[in-house]
Amino acid sequence: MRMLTSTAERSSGEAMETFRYDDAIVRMFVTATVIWALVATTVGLLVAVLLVAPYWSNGLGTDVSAVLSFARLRPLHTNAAIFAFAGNTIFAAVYYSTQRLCKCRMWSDLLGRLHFWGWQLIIVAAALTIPFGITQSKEYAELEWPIDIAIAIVWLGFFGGNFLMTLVNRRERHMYVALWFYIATIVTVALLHVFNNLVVPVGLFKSYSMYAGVQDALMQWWYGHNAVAFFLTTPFLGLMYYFLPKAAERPVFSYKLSIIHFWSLVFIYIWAGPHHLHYTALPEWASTFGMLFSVMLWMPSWGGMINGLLTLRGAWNKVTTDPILKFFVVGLTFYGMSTFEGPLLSVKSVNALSHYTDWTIAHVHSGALGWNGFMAFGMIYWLLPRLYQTKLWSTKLAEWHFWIGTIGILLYIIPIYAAGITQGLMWRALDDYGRLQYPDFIETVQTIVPFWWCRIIGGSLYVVGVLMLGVNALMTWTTRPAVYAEPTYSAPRLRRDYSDEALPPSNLVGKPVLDFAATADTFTKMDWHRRWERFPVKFTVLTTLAVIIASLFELVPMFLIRSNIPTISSVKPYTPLELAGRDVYVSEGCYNCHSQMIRPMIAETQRYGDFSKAGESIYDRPFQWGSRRIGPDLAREGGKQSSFWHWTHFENPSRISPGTVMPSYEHLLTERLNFGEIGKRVRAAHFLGAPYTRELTESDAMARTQSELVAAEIIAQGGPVAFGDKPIKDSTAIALIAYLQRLGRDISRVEEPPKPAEVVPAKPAPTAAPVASDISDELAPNEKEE
Amino acid sequence: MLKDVVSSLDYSTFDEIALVIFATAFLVIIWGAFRLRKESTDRFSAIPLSDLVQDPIESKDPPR
Repeated sequence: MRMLTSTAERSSGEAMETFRYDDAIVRMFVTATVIWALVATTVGLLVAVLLVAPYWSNGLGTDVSAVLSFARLRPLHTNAAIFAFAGNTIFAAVYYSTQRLCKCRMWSDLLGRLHFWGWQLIIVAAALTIPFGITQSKEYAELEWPIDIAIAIVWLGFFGGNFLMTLVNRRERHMYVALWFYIATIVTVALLHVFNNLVVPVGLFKSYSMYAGVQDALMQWWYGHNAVAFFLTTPFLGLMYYFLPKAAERPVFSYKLSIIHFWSLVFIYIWAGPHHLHYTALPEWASTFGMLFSVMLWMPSWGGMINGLLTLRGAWNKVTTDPILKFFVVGLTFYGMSTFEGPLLSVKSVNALSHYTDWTIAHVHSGALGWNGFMAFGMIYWLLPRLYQTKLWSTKLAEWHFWIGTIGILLYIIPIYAAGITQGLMWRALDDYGRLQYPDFIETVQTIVPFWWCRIIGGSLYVVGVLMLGVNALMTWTTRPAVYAEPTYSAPRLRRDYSDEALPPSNLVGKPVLDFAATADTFTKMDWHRRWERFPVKFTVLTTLAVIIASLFELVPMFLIRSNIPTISSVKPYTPLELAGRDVYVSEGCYNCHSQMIRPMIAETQRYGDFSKAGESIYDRPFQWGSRRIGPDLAREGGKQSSFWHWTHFENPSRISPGTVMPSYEHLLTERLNFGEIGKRVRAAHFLGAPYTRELTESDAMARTQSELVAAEIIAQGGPVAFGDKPIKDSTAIALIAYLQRLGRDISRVEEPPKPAEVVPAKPAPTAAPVASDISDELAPNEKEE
Repeated sequence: MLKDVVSSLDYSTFDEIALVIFATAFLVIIWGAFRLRKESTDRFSAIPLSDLVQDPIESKDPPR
């Protein structure tokens, strides 16, 4: 609890209080930051290697290779980078700077410790679930519902509560701009997290999203984009506004600019999410809305960057010798670059080229490695000697870290930019006859594999840099004093009877103008804003209102869209087996490499088929539109290949697709499907609106019947009866094949007329390959009834 | 009835309304921020530099 060691009276009559800062909690978060930075970047390097060498783990057994796959580990990398590395960076910055800016100890030491250990446990829980296929499949929100509840408690209850109470009990009357950014971070992340993760649990490790299809997509990217905004931007700007002036020993360049910067970001960022869904089945108005506000984001973002860089005015000579300032300068430069590129990528015509390609990956990494990484490293190097009360072990090593890290970022992003643009151009290239110039998708993958190898070199250098930081931190720690000194500080308690200094009267008073003009003149002197800056609760409420109002403009129409999605009568819910197969698709993380959204562009419709419609994904909880195409789009995969093709493809993709980077999914051929679990999932889907009838009571039998039919189909096509000693009909792969064969076929399904009592000959397959969804037609009683 | 009202809403105006709200707030903040008094902003911008004012009487630790 607070350390009020004594109270004295100053000659002025103000009550003086003495206190000590809780630096132990900052040391804990800094240590966690360094450890998780190493873990996150190493896992990133691992997934980069898995992308170019997907088979290297095959010899380790199917169970191990199932875990060591790109699709399973990529979310682990992103979660570790965002929530473990960046998260602990934020907490270290907040706990250190808030105490100093408020001139008081954190309100509760206990809440601080609960926050620290709670957050680390959440990260460990993520590491123990995501690689094993326990995922919601929403990008950056993969964690299942029990962990989500823990996040809400730790974030809002432990962290937010402690922070807000510290503000309430502060001894510095004015809340510095860094604190505003922290407030915005805490309230907005809480809102985003809660509303994006509303689910119906099916079990302890499985849930279905409350939203479906278009609504789920918009909700997810409202969250996804603002996770970048309010987890990777606003708290780091708070960090910048505190630690950069400290390191440069100069006040921030423009306080006025910081006010504009803050409110503009809070107002604009929240609306920009739909730019992640250009040319999808999202309504046009929402897409345009996202683009417009994304372009406007450029202004405040660069205002912040300029404010940061100009804080170094008169201190640029220090940059040449101080690695901390070097980190900050390059970090801010990457912030400027990313926040210019972000609006650029949100412009529809640019997005048409960049979306689903590695261009987005390069953009994200210039922000994450350059902005977040370098700002974090600069802060840590500044903190280490102060926290451990000794000199930094090696400034030279920090200097080396800076240069190796910088070269590493460049070697990472430049090839990936080239890869992304190459991909985009190859996908859309048409020959003189208007046909696809590169119809074979694998050709477009093989072209960029050399760029992926370059990325591994750049990524390795960055990891080496983080390792240098770890060594430097460890060695600095070893030279710490036996007992940390705990300096005592004193500051007067804030008087309750404080009144603002009187503003000079308006220059217009007494002039021949309307009273309104004089009032407006006084209003725009922002006295009201200065008052806000003294009231943390009011400031928090106003910030929350700004975020909520902006969100409502985006979300209210989203919830009303439901009645506007053109209903497609032929689109039916998945059969029980297909639903189980869909869960396998989600669990394996297939969305990390395959989209299910064909955009209305000639190159896409030629390659994949008719463009996707909003009404096609109304039973998709969560949506599986994806954001990246390492493999081809699967929105109309149903019926394109035979079921035996899929079976063989899972066993050994390169046997039938030479040059593919898809790893073997042999474990799906041996894993047994838990038919008993399907009923619960069908009932959950029904609860959320899927019009099931017979399925509610006979899901097990229906799933078994369909799996036998799919297995028979595979055997008839030349496949095995058993894999090893297990019959293929009970394998997980059969369910996944049933799901894949259903994809995109409903829209062209012809409603059958009522059938006579006698046996009707089987329908001919609409495509060359016999497919599983023909079987599902036979199994769907609802359709028969119609 | 509520359903009828909600169904009859024209979502296409949301973009314009949002833009007007944002632009108004943005202009007020900009206009006001540039009219802040220099002595105030100088004081506020230097807050981080004065946050380690150690009590010279009670603390025996060396200043950091």
